[in-house]
Amino acid sequence: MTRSFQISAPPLELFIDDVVWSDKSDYRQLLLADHLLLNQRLAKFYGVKVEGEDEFSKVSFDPRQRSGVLTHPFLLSAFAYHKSSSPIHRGVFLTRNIVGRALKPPPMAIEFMDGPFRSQPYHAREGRGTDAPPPPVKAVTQSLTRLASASRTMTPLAAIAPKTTKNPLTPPASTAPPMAKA
Amino acid sequence: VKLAGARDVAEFAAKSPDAHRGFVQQLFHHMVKQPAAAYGPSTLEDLRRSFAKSEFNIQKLVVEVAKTAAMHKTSPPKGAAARKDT
Repeated sequence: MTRSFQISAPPLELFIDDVVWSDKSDYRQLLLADHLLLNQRLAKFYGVKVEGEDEFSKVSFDPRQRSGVLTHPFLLSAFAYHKSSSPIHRGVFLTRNIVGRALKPPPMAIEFMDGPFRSQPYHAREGRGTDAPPPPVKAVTQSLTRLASASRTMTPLAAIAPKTTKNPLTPPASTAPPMAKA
Repeated sequence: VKLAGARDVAEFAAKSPDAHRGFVQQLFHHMVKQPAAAYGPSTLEDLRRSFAKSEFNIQKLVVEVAKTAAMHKTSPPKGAAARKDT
């Protein structure tokens, strides 16, 4: 504990500020530092003692357990669920942003392929992507035949509509605007 | 490469040119709001080399990034040397 910090930002930002604006400003310290900035409340959580009440102080930990931003609690909690860890989220972040490497695409075994699963004739209303193969002619013909036979057996709309003697386009007398006289 | 734990990952990243390049790229994007490649194909590699040469000094890297963004596609004003002579 060599230096205290005023409360003006979360501990992660204080840690980054401390490294970036130090004399050496060494990027490697962001990764390799074995200390955390803790106030009284956080120190109690980590089971260590610090001086002062609200000020943040540097507290060194076991280097095998703590390593810069990689093990910073804010970063660990940002890449986790509220009740459990998320090694995949954290691993993707570390690989892409900290180690600077690219990840391989997922294996073919989990690729989603909708083509082979289609067993029903193609219907135009379902829509399809531009990459999808066109439906076979036979399937389209069968579909059209079914549609034609269904339309012959359909009940006409007029048969089920409520019967009225009034012209549906004529508005009720109370709401009709007065006719202008020529 | 076998890594076991956060310390191994950190030590690997601290020595890896890929990790340095990634850091430079992120800082560049954060400051300039553009990819480094938009400022020339060799910009990222030049900045990474300069970063390594400065013992990974972040403040110097910030200055280099700002210089790269400010001086892009600029040239000394014409006749500047002549005016200086007169």
